[in-house]
Amino acid sequence: MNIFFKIVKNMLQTTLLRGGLLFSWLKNFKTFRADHYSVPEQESTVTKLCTELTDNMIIIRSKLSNSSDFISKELEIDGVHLQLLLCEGMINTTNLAKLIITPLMELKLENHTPDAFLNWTRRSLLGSEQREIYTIEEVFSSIMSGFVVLLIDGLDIGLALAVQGFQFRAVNEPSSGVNIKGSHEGFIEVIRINLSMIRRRIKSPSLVFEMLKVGTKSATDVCIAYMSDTVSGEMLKQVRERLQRINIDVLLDAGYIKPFLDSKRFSMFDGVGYSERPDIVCAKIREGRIAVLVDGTPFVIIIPFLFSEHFQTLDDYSQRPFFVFFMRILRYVAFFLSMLLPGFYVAIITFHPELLPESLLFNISTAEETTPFSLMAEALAIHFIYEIMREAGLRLPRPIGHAVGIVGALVIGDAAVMSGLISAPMVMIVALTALSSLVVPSLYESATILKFAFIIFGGLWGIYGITILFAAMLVDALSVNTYGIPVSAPISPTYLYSWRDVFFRSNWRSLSKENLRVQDLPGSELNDKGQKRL
Amino acid sequence: MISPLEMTAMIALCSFFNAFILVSDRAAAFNGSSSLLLKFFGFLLSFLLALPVFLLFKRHQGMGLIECAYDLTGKCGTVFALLYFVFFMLMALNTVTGVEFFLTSTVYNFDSKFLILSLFSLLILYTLYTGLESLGRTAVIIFVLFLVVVVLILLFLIPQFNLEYIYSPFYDGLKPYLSRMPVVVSQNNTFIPLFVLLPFVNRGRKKIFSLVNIINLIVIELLMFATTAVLGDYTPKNIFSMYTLVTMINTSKIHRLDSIHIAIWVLLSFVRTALLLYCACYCLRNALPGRFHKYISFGTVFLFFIGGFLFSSSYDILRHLYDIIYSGIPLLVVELFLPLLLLLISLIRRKKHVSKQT
Repeated sequence: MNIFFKIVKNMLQTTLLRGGLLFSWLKNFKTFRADHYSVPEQESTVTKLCTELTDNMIIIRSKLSNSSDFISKELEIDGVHLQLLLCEGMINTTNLAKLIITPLMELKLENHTPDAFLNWTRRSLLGSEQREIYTIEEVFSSIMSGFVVLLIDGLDIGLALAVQGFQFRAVNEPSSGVNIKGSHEGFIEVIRINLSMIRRRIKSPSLVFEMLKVGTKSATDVCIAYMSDTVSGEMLKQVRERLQRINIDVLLDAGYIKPFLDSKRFSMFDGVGYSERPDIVCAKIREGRIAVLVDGTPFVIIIPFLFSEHFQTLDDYSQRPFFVFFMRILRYVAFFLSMLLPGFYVAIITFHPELLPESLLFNISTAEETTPFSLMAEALAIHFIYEIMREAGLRLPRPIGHAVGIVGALVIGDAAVMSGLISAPMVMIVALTALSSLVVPSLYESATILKFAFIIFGGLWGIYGITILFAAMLVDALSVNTYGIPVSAPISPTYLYSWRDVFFRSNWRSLSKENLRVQDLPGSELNDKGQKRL
Repeated sequence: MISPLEMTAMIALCSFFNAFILVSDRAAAFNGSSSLLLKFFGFLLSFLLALPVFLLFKRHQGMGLIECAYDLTGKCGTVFALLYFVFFMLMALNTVTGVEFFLTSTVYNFDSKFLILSLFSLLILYTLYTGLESLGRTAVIIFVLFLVVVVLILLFLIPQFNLEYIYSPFYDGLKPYLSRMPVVVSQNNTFIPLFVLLPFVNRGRKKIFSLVNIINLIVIELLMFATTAVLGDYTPKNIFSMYTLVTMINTSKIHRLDSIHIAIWVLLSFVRTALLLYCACYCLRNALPGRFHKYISFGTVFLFFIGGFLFSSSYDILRHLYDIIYSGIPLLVVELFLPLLLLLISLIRRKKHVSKQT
């Protein structure tokens, strides 16, 4: 269609060019837009440190614009002039005193030269991490990450010393992914602590963390975690390239970069997922997946995330297999109920009432007869009101949040039915749908939108409409390929051996026999060596 | 690339579509029990009809029919591609008009053909856009759903079986079978997509044909048995005998399974139509220059929509379409005549090559 419109536009432009009326207006419009809405070019300069300390301080002060949290202190240690730079509130003052200030004050150098001082620092340990820096940008990055920077007069090298002491949330149970028998630790906002939680669980040298910075203004730390002996080289290369190509100003949450890492085509279902739990991330990494951690958010991106994994919880691996089978089937049923039940109800009552037994049909028709709206309108309205209540309950402060439940129960459960605006069976459908949608929270977004779509299709075209939309949903879900790995595997493309952990969970004796790698799933375009198949 | 399971599921679902409809006056069965034997004859006939294709593929390993045509005839392969395009388009139109006729005559009497066809066409367009892999994976899921529904239907129908309706299929002798052969032949049109799309199957190509035939035989024989045992001699006179069957199911909790039948049949016809149109697009892609490739999917579906609307608007035109398809001639042309021609060309070429060498 785009090509068709372009052809028509070209034809119009050619014929009107001679008159010069519309084309010149279009040209002016384009120029107007270009002048007013052009994206400013990013500065990409690197400023090296100077040997003169005063020159460095002039540059630093001018760039920081006298920011009030920036602290600088000039020191003279055994004849060597130094400048100490830090950000207030980011450092641990006790460690600063013990690890840096005290040794510096007690220092006696043989030669009172900057080189001698530098050599002394190279033999000492002035912080939990110590590195040399060469540019102004590294100075800013370091002091804003909780490092103390020492600039030495006479040398174009600085020292970044780790004495972080900023406040952060304690490690506690994650808000999502709650389980009964497993660990109750969850990730927090500090990336280094999250990395340590993963490292504690996988004590293997093949576990690799690659750090990089994303965000032209925020320079947020992003880490790619993987196991070098299991991961697909091709997939890793693509993830790295995509992260390096991200061009955003400020990265505050993993959700900002998730679309860049997901498969390009729009789909109702994602090819990458989140987890807030270190044990789940470790399990995924072990299967050849890649985890992307973002500083400032407890949610870790997992690439790729298969569709069947939305229905797995950590408790499945500590419970008996027969119970796990029952629970997984329950989750699948709950997901499809949350999506299809309202639409089916509307379709069957409107177009196919003969499907129901007489007694049930009589009760439903008696209830629906008193309502003023059509069944489809009623279903859409009541589900929309439920979504409003759910969103209000999430955003309200906790003390007021309880009131939402009471209001919701009164408004929907009692008053609306008593006044004849909606029917009692519809309230039951909403309740069952709402409960079912909470069983698989990671698919809540897709299930909610599809639920409304199924209500519309069911209300307009009955079972035919629902079937058409169901087929479209199936095609959409089964066409998602993330980095060459079909997200619907191993359900379809089918690999029965992998079903040992899909609808049921084999016992651990069987699961431990062979480690399944995600790039070996059927339909994968990546072979064992991580290169594309022909 | 798709797996053999996905291709098997697609081709099997295409063939199951025929079991759901028996057109009156062209019914393959002249009495209830004969349908059981006719299907078996169809099973044997499919191997005979496919023989030229097997011989051709033996000489041209890894190629499909279109590739063989271009390899053997050069630019004249375009004629073959266009002929196959027309065949696939006719089959797709036959499918969608059958669905539309069923829905508007039995289920949604008041509904608009335009809406039904447009929804269907949009779905097909989206499926063509996502590619053959997604269609194959969807077909596997629908295949499993179909088998579950068939088992359910058969179980619920068992109390209504009347085995007196099952009598000797040779009651009227052999002669009537011969007159019904064209219909049997035309109902075995589901293997052409396999022969065209064979290069897209990543392994196990030789097994697919036999596997589909066996699955086809078992499932359709069971369905035919159930239909005959319940409806008796009304079987061939009923346009939608399967639909009639499921409306007769009456359990204590669920009254009638016809809605499930509608859903499954729409899914079957979706897979069949999508596969046929994918093959049509594939033929066009080989026939047309590269600059038109972007428009092929949209153009094919647009043609399909217009054709479907035209055919379903007029019963006479629809009848002519059925006459053409169920005469068996289109299938004989594409499955027998054209591959035979290619085989002859291949033999002649080989002879020339051998004589040149000697």
